This record gives sequence, C-alpha cells and structure tokens, in this order.
Amino acid sequence: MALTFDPNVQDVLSLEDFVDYVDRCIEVDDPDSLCECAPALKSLLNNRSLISDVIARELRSWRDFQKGNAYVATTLILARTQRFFIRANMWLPDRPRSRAHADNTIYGLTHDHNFTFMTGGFHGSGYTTEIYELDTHAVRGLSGERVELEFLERTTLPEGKIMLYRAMQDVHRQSRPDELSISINLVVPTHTKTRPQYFFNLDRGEITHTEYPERGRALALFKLAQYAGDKKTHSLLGDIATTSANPRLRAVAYETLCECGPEIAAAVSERVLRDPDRHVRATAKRATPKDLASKGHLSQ
Amino acid sequence: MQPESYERLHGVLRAIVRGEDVTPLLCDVDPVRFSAFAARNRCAPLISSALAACPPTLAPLRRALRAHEISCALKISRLHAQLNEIVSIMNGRGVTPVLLKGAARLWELAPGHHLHDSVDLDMMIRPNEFSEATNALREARYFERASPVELRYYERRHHHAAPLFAPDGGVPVELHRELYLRDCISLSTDYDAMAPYARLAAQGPGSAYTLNAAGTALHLIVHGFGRPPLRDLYLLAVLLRSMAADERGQLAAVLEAETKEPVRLAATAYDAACMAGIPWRASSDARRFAQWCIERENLPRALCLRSDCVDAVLAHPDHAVRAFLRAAIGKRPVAEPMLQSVLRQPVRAVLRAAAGIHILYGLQRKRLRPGWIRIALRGALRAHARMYRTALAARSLVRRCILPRLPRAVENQIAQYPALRTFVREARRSSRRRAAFHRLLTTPFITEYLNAELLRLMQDEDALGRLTEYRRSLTIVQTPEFVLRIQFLDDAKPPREIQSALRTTLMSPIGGSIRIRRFSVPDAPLRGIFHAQAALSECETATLGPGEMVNVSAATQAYTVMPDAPSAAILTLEDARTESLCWRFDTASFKCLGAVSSDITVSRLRETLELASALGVRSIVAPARSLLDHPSHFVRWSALSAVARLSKRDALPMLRRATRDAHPQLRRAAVRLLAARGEQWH
Repeated sequence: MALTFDPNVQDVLSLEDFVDYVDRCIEVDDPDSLCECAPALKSLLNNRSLISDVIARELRSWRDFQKGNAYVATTLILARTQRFFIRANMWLPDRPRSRAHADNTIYGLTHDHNFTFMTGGFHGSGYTTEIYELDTHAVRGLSGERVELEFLERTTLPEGKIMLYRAMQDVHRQSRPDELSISINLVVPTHTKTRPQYFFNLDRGEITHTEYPERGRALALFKLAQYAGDKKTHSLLGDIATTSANPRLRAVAYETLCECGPEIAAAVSERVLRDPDRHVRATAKRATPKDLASKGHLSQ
Repeated sequence: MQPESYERLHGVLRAIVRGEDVTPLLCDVDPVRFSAFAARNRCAPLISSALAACPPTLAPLRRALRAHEISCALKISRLHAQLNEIVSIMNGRGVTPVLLKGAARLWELAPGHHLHDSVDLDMMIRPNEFSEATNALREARYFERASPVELRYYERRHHHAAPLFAPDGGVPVELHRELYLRDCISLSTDYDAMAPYARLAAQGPGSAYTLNAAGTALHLIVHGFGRPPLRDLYLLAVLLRSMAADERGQLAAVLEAETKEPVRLAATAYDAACMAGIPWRASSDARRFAQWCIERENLPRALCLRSDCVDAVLAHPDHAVRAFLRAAIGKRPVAEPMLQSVLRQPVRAVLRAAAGIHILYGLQRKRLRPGWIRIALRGALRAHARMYRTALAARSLVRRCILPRLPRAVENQIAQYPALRTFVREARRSSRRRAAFHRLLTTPFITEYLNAELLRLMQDEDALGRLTEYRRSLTIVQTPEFVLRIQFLDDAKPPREIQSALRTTLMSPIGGSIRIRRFSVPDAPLRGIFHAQAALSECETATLGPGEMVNVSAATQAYTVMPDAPSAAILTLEDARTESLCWRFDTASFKCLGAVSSDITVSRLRETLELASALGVRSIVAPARSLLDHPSHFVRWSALSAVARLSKRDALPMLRRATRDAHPQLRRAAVRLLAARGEQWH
C-alpha cells in the first residue's frame, strides 16, 4: 500500500536546502532510500513561506512564468534536477477559473502512476483519495484488460501528512477537497520511459486506456501510418514490431501493422506471437485476425 | 461659443462693476441661451442678483438665472460647513492656513460671497507645516485620487499638492506652496513672498489668514495668466475699484517687476481695470494682448482651443518664433501614458502650429476665413495618417525582406527532406503560404516523412522524444511564422461546443474525407466583448477529400470538423500568431457561451494569483502591479483582484490605472468598482 509517514520534525528547510539534500544524500530510484527523506520533506512543509516565496519569485519574472511546465494550470514546478523534480499541486474545492486548462479530469479518474513520488500536505485539509493496489506482474497492460484492484484505504492528505506512492503499484481515485489545499510532491520519473500510465474503470474492473507521452512521437507516427503508409512503411513497422527494444512499441507497431499492412503482419506474426514480453504477446494475440494468423502459420 | 454672448456678458459684468443699469444690455437676449452661457462662465448668480429689481420684460431671463443663484446659495452653505471643518482640523494640529480666493471670501463672508461658488477650496500653507496639514487632512479621511505619476508631478513641479478629496462628497482641497507654477513666472508667490499681504481673518470659528485686497488681486492676476475666466476678471475689477490709488500703484509696480511673462500679467490687470473703469498704465504689447483675449473668444471653438501659439507670439513679441515653436511643441499631459504621448504629441503640435499660422495670417489680414482652418486641419491629419501608413508599410517591408533565422534544430530537420525545405522557404512568407501548402499536398512528402521518422526510431528510440499530445497531434515542423502538423480525429462524436479559430489555418485531409462547417464570429466577440445574444452565422458546409484544402481565419471564423470514417488525420498549416481568446458557442443555438484563454500560462498565472490572495501572500503586490502590463486582460483583472483582496490601499492605484485599460469590459468593471468602493478602500 501507499506508505504513510508522520515524522515528528520541527526543523524548517528551504527549498534549495531540501533539493540539495535529496540530490546528495538520497538514492531516489531506491524506494527504501526515498523513504529516508520523509523527515526532510516534513521540514520543507514546515517552511510556511515556501509557496509564497516561490510565487513572489515567479511573478517577478512573469514573462518566463513556469516555462516548460506541461501540467495543468493548478500545478507549479518548484525545482527540477536531472533525477527528480519538486512540484506543488493546488487542490481546489471548486472548478478553477481558467476553464481552458482546468483540473477537472484529475478527479474521479482511477489511475496509477508510472513514477514514484513522495507527497506531503502543505496547506488545507487535502483531497480525499481511495487507494487500491495493483498486482503489476499479473497485468499485461491492454486496454479493456480485466484487472484485480485490491482496496486498501480511503484517506486524505491534510497538512503535515506525508505519503509515498509507489510507481505501477498504487492506484488511486481522488475527490475534490473541502477547502483549498496544497500538496508538495517529490517526483522521481524513472519508469516513465518504460511503462505507460494506466487508467481504470473500477465498476468494470478493467483498464480503460493508457498514456505514454515518453514515446508519444512514435505512437503518433504509428497512427499516421494508418493514413499515409506505403509498403516501405509496413516493412519498417514490421521491423519495429520484431526488433525494437521497447516492448510497448513492438506491441503498438504490430497492432498498427495488422490494420494497415496485413501481408507484412502475417509474415511477422509468428515471431511477435512468440515475443518474450507477455504484453506484446497478449497484444499480438488480440490484434491478429484469425485468417491472418493462419496465413502466417501457413507461410512458415 | 457665441461671440455676441461673450461680448454681451463682458459688457454686463462691466456694467455691474461700475454700478450701471444692465437692463438695456439684456433686453433682447435669448433667456435660455444667455443663462446657460452665463452659467458656463460662472456669472449666472451674479447677474441674477443684479436683475433683482428687473422690469417684467426680463422676467423670463431672471427666472432662468435664478435657478443658478439658488443652486449656488445651496452649494455655498455646504462649502461653508466644509471650510469650517477643515480649518478646525488644521488648527487642531497647530496649522493656520492662508485662505485663498473663494475660501477667503467664504471665511470672511465678503459682500456677494453667496454669488460665487467654488469647485475647490484653496489654501496656502507655511512650508514647515505642509506635511502636518496634509497628514491632518488624511487622518480626517481626505484622500488623493492622483496616480503615482501625477503625485510625483504635483510634488515636484506643481504649485499645489495633489487635490485631497473629501470623504463625504464635498469639494477637494488644494494645499498651495505658491500661488502659481514656479517655472512660468519670475514673480515670487511662495508663502514668504505673500506673507506681507496676509492678515488674520476676523470672521469664522477658527483661526485663519486671508490675503488683503492687493494680495488677492495679485493672486487673481497670476491665476488668470493670459486667459482669465470672466468671473475672475469681474472679481479683480471689483477689487481694483475698492483699492486706494497708492495700493493700485504698488500692485502695478509688482507686476512691472515680472520678467518672464510681463505682457500676459499686465494684460489681465489692464483688462480688469478697463472693466472697472479706472486708469491703468500698460504697455502697448499688454494692450494688444488684452485686445487679443477678447478677439480670441470670437474664433471658432476648434481654433480658440488651439490658440497657444498666437498667445505666445503676442506675449513674447521680442522672440516670437521661439515662443511660437515652444508653444506648438507644448508639454505632455502628466496623466497620459508615454506611448500615447509619443503618438499624440506630434499630432497636437501640428494642429497647434497650423491653427497658430492660420490665426496669425487672419489677424494680419484683419479677417478670418473659416474655410482655412478646415483645410489646415485636414492637411495636418492627412499628413499624419500618411506618415503612419508609411511607417507601417516600412515595418512590414522589413519583416518581409528579413525573415528571422531558423533555429538550428529546424534547419537540420528540413535539410533531410527536400520537399519540406522548399515548402518552408516559401511558406515563411504569408503571401505564398497557400500555394506552398497546395504544392506540398501534391507531393508524397507525408509518406516520405513518416518512413524517415520510423527509420530514425529504429536507429535511436530516444531521438524522437516526448510528445504529450500524441493522441491528437503530431508536429512536423515549427518556424517563427507557422506550424505544420498532423491532427488526428479519433472521436467521431459531434462536438459539444463550437470554438472560434485560434490561428489562421489551412487544412487538408490525409487518406480519407472530412466534413467541415465554417461559421462567421459575430461582432461583439471580435471586439473582445462577451454578449450572450451574439450568435454565429453559418457560412459553409463542405466535404473535403485528400488533396483538397480549406482555409479558416483566426478569430473571425469558427469551425467544426467531422471525419466521414470513424477516424481521420488532417494536415494543418497554422499561422504562429495565436488569438489570446477562444470563444465558445452553443452547437444548437450558435449563441455565445463565453471565452477561454488559449494560453496555459495565462491560466496558470490566474490560478497562482488566486492562490496567493487566498494564502495572503502580500509580497505579490509589487509584481502584481507589473502584471497590469500583461497582454491578457484575464491576467490583468486577476492581478487587480488578488491585490484588492490583499490590500485595498495598494489596489486603488491599480484600479485607477485599470480605468484606462485597453479592454472595454475591464475598464468598465474598474470604473464601476472605483465608483462603488473607491472611497472605502482609501
């Protein structure tokens, strides 16, 4: 389950000191080591001028305000290093003013994270969240795949509380807080390149869709291949489906190929169906039409 | 302006000063027009009083003037109470003010004081008591409405401090350091110089000084300064009549010592002396200027208001050209933003110079031809418009000829695709963009691009990088002028609302057909204003196949696109210039639902300002002030709202500035808020 910490710390740390400490002393990719920085995060949360200092600093140079921040309008990036970044999330009791870039989609959506992060309540009573556990080894990651989600707890993130959400294991669904709340996250985006984020339908107990921005350009090219591909495209897709180092790309490339280049797909289907990765095998099994599979078999 | 009314009014006042019968001068006037004109010159109560025993033929005029007299009496009553309060406040802090003009008349209950109301209360303060007096009034909830720039001007350059407005709606109070602008005249009119003229006033509940007749006359003369209001001229004439000959002689001697503006000051005194019917020694230049002051009132209004150059030439006959040019250039209005001044000041200078030349030419010929002013003004306006157009054309030409250098990454990217390189070279110029896009559609570029990128993916997976919007779009190339991208339409459901185009876009489907509906955006949103009844009008519904293209104009058009198949891909070429607002319309009624910002930074700034105000972060006040320069009116308003929640006092100058904002709705909101809460916030 998502780990909860309640360190009894009265110290106050500045943002710079906290970043420096984590950078020097914490192995952020190791969850056990990451847990050790909970007292430091608590010290950071004790710094009551943290948000006001950041806001005043950012507003002073508003022409470069939060450059490179691709999150919703209610998220501020406070600091960034090569291995991790610190962000502040505002949790609003009502819909935000800026309708165009609202946080509406966050609430009520059951999802996991493809990164580990430690979060602490900085202000307010915090959002309410239902936490579930996903057996990541039993999941192939297909849209529509049935999954077992074990309910763990329903909790909030009030001021001073610290929690660690484990990448690809902890699944949660958030509700709007009763009052304006702020949380501070230490995000370690290690797994974002290898595994997409999953979104779930709790009622049906299945994965609804996946998000994989790290390989977004490749995925967009695969989509384009359906409209503008030629034989060479199909051949390249076949190569990617069989040789790419990334199992997600292999799976999607094969899926695309089945739609736009069935001949090539038939030629490579045998190899893909025997792929060492079970996600690829499952995808290939689902994507390969029966007649195509038989053709592929015949060709051998 | 009605010339006959001015001359008649001047004659009427002259008769009143001299104690002559005014009836013959007024027997044929139009009561309504004359009373209105007299009221504009603030002489209506005076003439009404003079007509107290008028014959029945003048009863309609008397009735018309009487309303002004009663109104004036009521104002005087309120003014009196306010003056007593102010003097009492100052006395309480050990300050004894020197009451000037209307305030002095009221305090001393001078004869006829009830016939002359005031729009302010002027008083002079000893320099070492100035801050004490100001603080005393501020503590009594008097407040300044001037912007910081105006405040600086009042402090450094002006002869009195910024007007202090009464908390309960009385007239403003002006605390003088001097009687007139220190740079304009050589005569010393500060507290020490005027001290010999001051006397402790006998009347009134508190302690205050007033100026004696000579001092008051001097004040009226310097206050009029070449363009004296008729009422001041009358008051000066009355004073001159009441003064002894040696006192008048002393006053004349003081005026003769003036070196900067001897003609204008002497002319005012001379004109008043003429009105009073007493002898006055004046130079021929002063007499000429006094004559000109009356002639000036006969000019058409447009000329009369721009006669500064002629005033300057006649006031400084020894260096007429220099005076003419200085008057034509003029001074920038203090409250006007610098950029506006840069644009407007040349126009004002040209208009003043044209009016000046025209008047001087007319004076020389002893007659004025009304057609000339129109010709001169039109010429000046045409010249200004031509200059403006030329400047715009030059800027546009420079931008067309010198395109900014492409980033190295883009250069490297287009170097790999000959078709893309040719396209980018042409499409950077907006005039050739459409043709370039059309040519691109006839080439197999998209497939070549796709294959090359897939090959690159095979060689180095990380080379392609991250793409958050991959489900909806794939950017091919982005230059400072445009973005070429592919958009995916996966969801065949009809749109929930219609949105205005954020960028001018050319689009063409890839490998399937699409249905596009285009609409014209109504006027109100085009002007940036929300109007619930403003509705889209449908222009066109078309089905496009591969190779066909359509153009959608930013802001002026809205559109919806639906694929004929469950999904589709579109190649789009979008102008880099993005509209700041995206207008939303109902799909059924086409009526306007509102606007959202197209820029996430704008949204984030708004949320951050909201958060800062909720957390009480007072350190944002200073940066929020600079956010009033932000291009988005959403942000400007959010900044103002945030500061208003944190500190009403700090919000007040921002609110005042917002009343001059470029966005009409923000301006209106600021004006309404200032009217409703301005005084509370102070």
